[in-house]
Amino acid sequence: MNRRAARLLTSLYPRPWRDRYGAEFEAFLVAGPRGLRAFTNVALSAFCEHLFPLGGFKMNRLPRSLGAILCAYLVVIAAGINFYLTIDDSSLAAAMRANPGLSTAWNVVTLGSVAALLGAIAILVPLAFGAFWFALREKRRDVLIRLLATPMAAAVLAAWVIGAFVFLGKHWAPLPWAVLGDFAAPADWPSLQVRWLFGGLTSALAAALLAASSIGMYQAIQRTRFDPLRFTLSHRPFTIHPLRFARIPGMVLTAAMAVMTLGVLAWGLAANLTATSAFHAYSGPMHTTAFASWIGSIGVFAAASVIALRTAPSLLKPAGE
Amino acid sequence: MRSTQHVVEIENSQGYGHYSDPPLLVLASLASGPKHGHAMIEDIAGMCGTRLGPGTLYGAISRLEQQGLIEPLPPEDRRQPYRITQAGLRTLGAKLTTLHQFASVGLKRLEAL
Repeated sequence: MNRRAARLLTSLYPRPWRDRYGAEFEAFLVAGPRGLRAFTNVALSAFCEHLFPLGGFKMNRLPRSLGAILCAYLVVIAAGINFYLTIDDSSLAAAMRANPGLSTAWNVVTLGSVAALLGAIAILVPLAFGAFWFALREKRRDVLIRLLATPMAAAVLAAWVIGAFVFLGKHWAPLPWAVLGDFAAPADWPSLQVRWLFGGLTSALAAALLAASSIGMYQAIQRTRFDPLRFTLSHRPFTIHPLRFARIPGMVLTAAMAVMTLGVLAWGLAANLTATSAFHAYSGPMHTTAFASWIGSIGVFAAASVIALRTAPSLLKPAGE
Repeated sequence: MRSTQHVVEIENSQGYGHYSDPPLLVLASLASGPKHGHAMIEDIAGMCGTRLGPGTLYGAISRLEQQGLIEPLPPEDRRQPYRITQAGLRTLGAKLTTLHQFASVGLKRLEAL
């Protein structure tokens, strides 16, 4: 059977079935059965699969869990950037140097972010390599597009910020944390209305691109059949199964996000007690207070951590990939 | 009186002797070792004369895998081999025992005709 016919027949199956068996079934059809009888058999089987779908795919649990944890991490990165830029260049940074409680909480967040980054790299490098290899070998443009969603989103956001920076006279970058009030803003910056407008557009664009990146990454993992990666290091052969390998870093990433959440929570409580005026000053995004920004960050951190913590135990359950 | 052998030969020649319980056939095929799809089809055809269609085969594979009776092995080239699990062996044993009892009783009744 030619590849086009095999792909057409495979596309008749429900999406959950295709996500699990589509690639291998298509290869199976290309390699062997042909003729009207095979065609009819597959078409009828696909129809039956719609009528009596499988109750769930246990085999997809691991990629689904990893996808959910990585999406949670993407959201945590956004919340972490908001947390960092709210404090950066504000009076809270000076307050932290004078207050050991604040600086300890900050160090916990930093430690958590480093552990989370290492965990994410350990998951993403073999997964991304495996998914790219799969997409190229199987000519799966859909997987390739989804894999490129995150770098493309980052490029689009950077292009918007740079373009707006140039358009607005090269004095002000349209970042939500740089809206500021008129008293704090330098004289050569655009007006507060313009800063509001462009800062708001950047926020909306970033949120949309973050959602697109998360969905793209999640779907790329779901649609990939991860084969073992074989390589040689110091003349010794190694084999890594990307999904199985990702289990431990997945647990590390989850724990690190939980630690970061606790650190951000402790930091906010300490800031409210020891640096009250700085904490309620307008240094947050879109000319909001640092307190409001912290509330937003801790909410996102907590939601992402809950998702990751609820998902992580399934990484340890024995199941095929 | 017709012998059982005679009945089986007559019915097989008309296509009635083919056994078709795809999940059980897949389990029985994998009982002799891991196989990919095409090898399963050929093995099953040789075992009982039934040639499963590609959709039927993968319908059985997906359900057996979901029930934990078979599991995938690392792919070989573009082929995806599967092997039977311990639970699959137990299920196959139980089903074949029931079939054996059923067949024994049925054949004895035929002999008695």
